[in-house]
Amino acid sequence: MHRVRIAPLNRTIRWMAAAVLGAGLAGFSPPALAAAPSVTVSADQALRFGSFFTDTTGTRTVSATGSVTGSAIIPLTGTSPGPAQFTVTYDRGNNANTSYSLLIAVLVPGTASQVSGGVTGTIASFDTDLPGVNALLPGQTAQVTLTGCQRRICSRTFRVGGTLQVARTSGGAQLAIPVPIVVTLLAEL
Amino acid sequence: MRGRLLLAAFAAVIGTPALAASGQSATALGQAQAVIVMPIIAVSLNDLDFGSLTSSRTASGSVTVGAEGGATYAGGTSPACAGGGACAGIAPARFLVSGEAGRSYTVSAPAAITATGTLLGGGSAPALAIDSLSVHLDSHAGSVTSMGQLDDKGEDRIGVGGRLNVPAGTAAAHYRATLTIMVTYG
Repeated sequence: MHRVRIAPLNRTIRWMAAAVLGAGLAGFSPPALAAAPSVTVSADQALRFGSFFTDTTGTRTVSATGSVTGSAIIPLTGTSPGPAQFTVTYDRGNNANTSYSLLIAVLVPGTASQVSGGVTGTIASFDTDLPGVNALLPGQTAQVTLTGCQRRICSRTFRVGGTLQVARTSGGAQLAIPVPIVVTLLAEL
Repeated sequence: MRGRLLLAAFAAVIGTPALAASGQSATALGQAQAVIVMPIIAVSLNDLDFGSLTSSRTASGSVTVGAEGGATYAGGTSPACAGGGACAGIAPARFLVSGEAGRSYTVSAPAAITATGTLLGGGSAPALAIDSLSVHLDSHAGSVTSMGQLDDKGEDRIGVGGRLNVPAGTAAAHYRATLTIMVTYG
């Protein structure tokens, strides 16, 4: 009488089943190990106030929509005024095909200003075309919900305008004022 | 039991996306640019001087000083300088324009002005007309134009000439007029 040993065969079948299931998981669109979500922001274009003359003090406003107004200045030929442009990009970390929104905070950390010779330029306020945000005050966070994200990468381009206050005691100047923008991801909704 | 654990893990992978890492920040350094142009100014270097001249009792005349210098007399006028030669003081008005290097500008000057006179013996003399005012910009040497360009030092020079009309029988007097020009960036 022969005894049939079936235990080793069972183990073989189990390992094969695990291998087949593992292969199935690997073939599915989301990777088994999703990357960590990340957010980045890039500065695409500078905020351009153009060329102008002012006797002692004056202001020039370039809005996020591109309209230009001024007070106590004389516009001159030169670079055309225009708003700054930034792009915020969110990498969800996986390829799940579901729609989602992002809640982000946008911050201009401090007053942007520069002194160059006898000219002082200060940008005390910014505006933007981000939905629901009219003014970006230095040091104050604005919360924005970006809707309509669908794919793994979700990016939005937004424009930033501002009002440049100029005080001039002598001469002229070419101002290049740093404008840092901090974007913080608050939640994926 | 193993099979159930495996299936549970499978369901978890396809059902739930990775959660966002809230609080994650990113910074971009943008820039705001502006060119604040220094003022443009014009300073008088010397006056438009018609010098000394004589006038006829019967014929009207004129003296014209060119924007680049030189004087011509017409009609009943003639120079009244020592020896009858050219008068040293005759000269066009000269202005120094200062502003942003390389920028273009325009100059505007009146077409005519009026000189008021003081008789040598005292009292006011009849006014004389100065017309045909012409402008010469050093940055446009050889051509008369109202648009100039500041050089690498942010400077240019302007000459202004004109014609003084002297009616017949004009009494001896000192005449003076104010010539105002305006320069603006183009």
